[in-house]
Formats: sequence, C-alpha cells, structure tokens
Amino acid sequence: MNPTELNHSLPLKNASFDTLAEALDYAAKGETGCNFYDGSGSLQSKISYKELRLEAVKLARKLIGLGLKRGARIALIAETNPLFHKFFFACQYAGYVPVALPAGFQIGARKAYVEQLERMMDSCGADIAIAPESHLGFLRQAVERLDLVKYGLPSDFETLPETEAPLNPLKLDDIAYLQYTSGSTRFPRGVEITQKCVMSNLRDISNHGLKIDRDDRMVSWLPFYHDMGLVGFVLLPLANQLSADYLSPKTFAMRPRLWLKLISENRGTISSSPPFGYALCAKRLRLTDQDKYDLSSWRVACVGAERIHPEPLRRFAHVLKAANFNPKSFVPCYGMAECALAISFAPLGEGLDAMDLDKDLMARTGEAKLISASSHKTNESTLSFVNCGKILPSFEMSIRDDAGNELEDYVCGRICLKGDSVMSGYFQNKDATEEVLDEEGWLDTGDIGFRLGDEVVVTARRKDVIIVNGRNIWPHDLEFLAESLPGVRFGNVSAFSFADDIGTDNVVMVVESRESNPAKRKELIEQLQSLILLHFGVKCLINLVPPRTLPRTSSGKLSRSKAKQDFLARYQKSPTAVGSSE
Amino acid sequence: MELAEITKTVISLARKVDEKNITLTPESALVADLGLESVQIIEFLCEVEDHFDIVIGEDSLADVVTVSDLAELVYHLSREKKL
Repeated sequence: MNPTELNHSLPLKNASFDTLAEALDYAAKGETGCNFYDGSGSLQSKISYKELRLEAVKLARKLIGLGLKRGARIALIAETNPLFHKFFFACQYAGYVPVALPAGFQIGARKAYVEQLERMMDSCGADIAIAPESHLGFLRQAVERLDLVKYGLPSDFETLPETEAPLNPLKLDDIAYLQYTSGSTRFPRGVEITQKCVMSNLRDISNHGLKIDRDDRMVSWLPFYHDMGLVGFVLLPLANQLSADYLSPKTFAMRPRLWLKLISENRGTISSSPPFGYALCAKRLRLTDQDKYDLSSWRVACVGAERIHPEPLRRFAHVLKAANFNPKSFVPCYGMAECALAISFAPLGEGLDAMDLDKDLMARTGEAKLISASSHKTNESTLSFVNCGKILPSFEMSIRDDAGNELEDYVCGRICLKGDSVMSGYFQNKDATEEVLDEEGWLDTGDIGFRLGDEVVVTARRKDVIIVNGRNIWPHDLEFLAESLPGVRFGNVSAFSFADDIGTDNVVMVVESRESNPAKRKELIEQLQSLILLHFGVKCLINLVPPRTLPRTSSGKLSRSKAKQDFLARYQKSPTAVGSSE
Repeated sequence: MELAEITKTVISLARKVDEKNITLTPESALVADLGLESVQIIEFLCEVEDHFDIVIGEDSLADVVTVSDLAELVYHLSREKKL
C-alpha cells in the first residue's frame, strides 16, 4: 500500500469555503487524503478525501434515519483512525454536532476515565455516542446514568438502513463542533465553535500563519480530541486539499522516532507539537539514529500550547542537525480552543526569537524591560520569553489591566481578543461564558502577556492552569482530590505549579495538617502523591504546613497566588525542608 | 513462556525505571508504589512491548494496577499471538 498523493490536478483553494462540508466537497475532487500508521510505523489504512466524502454522505443518510433534531450532539471517542473522520463529517452533512471525546490511556485509571466521559457527555447533552471496539467497555459504563438515544460501535451505525431523506448540512452560523480541552475534569466546558468561526481561523492559518501551498504535506501524532490535533491536522489539511499522515499519540509517546521517520519518508513539510513533544523526542533519540532521517523537507515546526522555553528546542535542533533539521523551521505560535485554534504565529523561517527580560521589574510593575546580552545582569535576574509573533488578521487584540484599562506596549496585562475566530461561548453554560466574553464580543483569554505593536509575547498562561507534559491540569481538580483523603480538610489545600531554572513545571500542593507524628506525616504525603499520580500521571511536591498557614482573602477564600508566593519564599530558604516529591 | 517467568521479567524491566529502589513483588502497584509519571510508564511499557514482541492496547491498561496484572496481560497477549 502506498500513501495518498502529494499533488493533484485540483487548483489549491486555501480554506475559502463557508463550511466544513463544502471544504470536503471540494477536496473530494482531487486525489489527496489521509494515511494512518501503526505502532511499528507501517501504513495501516488510508482514506482519500474522495472516499471520505462518499462514506460520510452515506453514513449521514443512515444517521438522519434515527430522526434526531438538527444540532443534536454526537459524541465520538476519538482514536486516531479513519472512523473519526467518517463520523465527524457524517455529522457535518446530517446537520449534527460532533463532539470529540478523549481516547484515554492512563494505567489503572478506569474509574477516573469513565467519570470523565460521563461528565463530558452530560455537559453536551449527547444524543448518540460512538466508541471504537477498544473503548466500548468504558463507554457502556459511562452511559449507564445518561439518557442517550443510541450508543455503540461504528459498525452499529454503519449497518443502519440508508434513508432517502435529503442531506441537511450544517450552515455558516451553525455550530460546527464542540471542543472539550479547556475545562477542568470535574467541570468540563464545551467550547462552541461555529462554521464561520472555524473557517475564519482556517483561512487565517492557511494564508497568513503557515502560507500553505500545494507542495505541503502534513504529519501529526496529536490526538484528534485536542484542538491542535483536530483543527490543525484534521481540518486544516482537508480545507487546503493536502494529504496528511498520522501516528497515534500512544505510538508517538512510546516511539517518538517514528514521528521523524514519517516526516523523513513522506517528505512532510508541516508538523507541530507542544514543547514537551520536542523535548521527549530529543531525550529518547539514539544518537546513532540521526543519519537515518532527512528532515530537510520540514519547513514549519510550530511550537505552541505551553509557555515556550527555548532550551529544550535548542537541544532538539542540536540532536537533529545531522538529520538536516533546520532550527529556523521552529515557528512559535499562540492559540487556544476558545479561538478555534490559532491566535498568532511568529514569522516563518526565522526560528525562535527569545528575549531576556528583567525579572524583578516584571514581578514588581508588570513592565517588560529588555536586557541586552552585554549587560551585567546575571541569569537569576532575567526571564527568557519567546515572541509568539503577529496576531492573525481576523483578530483585534487589547492588553488590559485588572480594571479593564488598555495597556501600552511592553506592559504585561490580560490578553483580550475579538473577531470572527472567537468562540460563541461555552455550550449551554451562560455563567462560564459571561465570565470570559463581554457584550462587545471581547474574550478575556485569562492569559497574561504584553504587546509589541501587533505582536504578542505570552508571559503566563491561563492564570492558574498547570501544564505538565502537554496536559492541562486545573488546580481545583487536584485540591478536590486531596480533600477526599481522611485527614485533609475541605478548603485547607492549595495547588499550583512553579517553573524551575530549566523551565520544567513542578506541581506543588500545600496542605494544612495538625498531624505531628513524623511517620503519619510521611504516610499522608505518600498517600497524596500516589493519588495524584494515579489520577493525573504527575509527580507532586507536597508541603505540609500547620493549620491557618494558607493565606486567605478578607472573604475567607484561599488565595492561590499568595500561597505560591509564600511557598516560594519557604522553598528558596530551604528547598529540602518544604517537602519532597520523592 | 510461563506466567512466573513473565512476572520475573516484568519485574526486572521495572527495576530499570524504579527511581525509588523499592523491593518489587508481583503485588507492587506500578503507579502508586513505583511512583511513575505517565511519561515514564509509557517508556516502561515500550520496553515491555519490545521485549515480548507484543502490542499492548491502550484500553487493556485501564485495569492494570500491579506488576502481576501486567504480567497476566503480557501472558495472554503472547499466547494470542502464537495461536
């Protein structure tokens, strides 16, 4: 079997369509499509856009036969295989809203995963849920308490009778899909993205961010339930009639070198990852592997989703120099599911633009002052940030202080955005929507940064969110978990993260405890660490403190930022005394 | 390969990633006792797959808690492969 073609006779159209269904209609006239590679890096299956359209339309007619209301939510457990594409696009033609759910693989975490699926399906009011065979058992458990019209394997839907009813494609102002990547696991929020919103973002990315042309080929291991995986590597190639090659996230995590092999063999030109993916790859690569690959075709290696620390990327580039990886291919970018995917891209072909800023001044006044290499400031007094480039043309940006006043260049504040690519809200969640979207349509991203004209430098993401190995963890989810242990009282826990000198995020939990017996204290710490590992897959530094140590606001609420400040003061005084992550 | 032998091999592979240097038994919990992060677990599973020449499905991991759970899974997968 050979992968799908690179080129085809079709004139390139850069996402100039009103809807995703129209984008597929056009791509189906050419010869390109999607290729799926297995755990050993061999081509396992492929589907051309032509076949995808035929199958999606056929499946849409079957789904229409179920008599659901237009806009009904169809939950799809999103493994990396062509079934996801078929069902996602069947929804587009049938007038239903697809919702990609995570295909999890956390060891020993059945209960947590089933609960997560249940909460997401409950939050979006799913009418139908579809799981690949490997995940049917979890889905069966997750739907027990929900009121679904039907759930099952893809084949349970593919064998439904085809109706004669006309197709009912989603239109410009209809919701195109819901995205569940931004909320906490306990309170999931479905980001509502309309056709207009996603198409606007796809056009911006194609024409301005990546300047896609017909020789491009995309390669990805990102999960389809993630915004970068779905919008960046399922919808973007399709809207540009490009072929795409996929590895599953599990395959990448186990054998990151297969990512490089695929880019090398298929002459991939665009492939992206959060910073941790590059770091993992550099760490696990054997030096003898380097000359097996030729990465000279890789023109765009976007880096996004977390704060970008230059060091791991420099290491990646260094390790792969012999494989012709060009460090100028790195393209720092900034985005979030609330804006479909992308907000800004650094200029192509220029690599990382890291700037050193005065750390103390920034902490004191929020002012970003550049420190030149020739100055005598030491490493400890500077912070390095990467310029995430110009915001895409469909956005307006405003950097604001806490009172809502617009700030000037080089002053840190909340990054606020407006434009066609901004979500319409969190699905059926008015309160959460009003917290971030104002009446004029400005989205308060929650991220902190400063502007340089049209360019944005992100200095902190999502006020409190903890990002480890590409995963977002919400502190209140960690705190809630800790409070479930006997011996830990409700409201006596504060979780946050801090970045160490090499840019690694460390998770910390400060817990108030009356326990004075050293053996029992040790036991509590171990229990907390195991629990957090099991549920979130990360190590956590536990700091037991006496009752009433955690700082509270005048209304009695815990202040997480003050708790972090206090902790860092203790930590700097004596790193070993504040607890242990061992 | 018999289950007892597989268990032994799994333990010896786990020793390589065990930073805490604990005494591993078939009852040791991979996450709770070894204290492995998800990224380390994956690295370990990769070693297990390569060693036994099997593919462990993501779905089957959800019920794996101890060394012996994993050994049993490996045992079944290697038998299935032979059949």
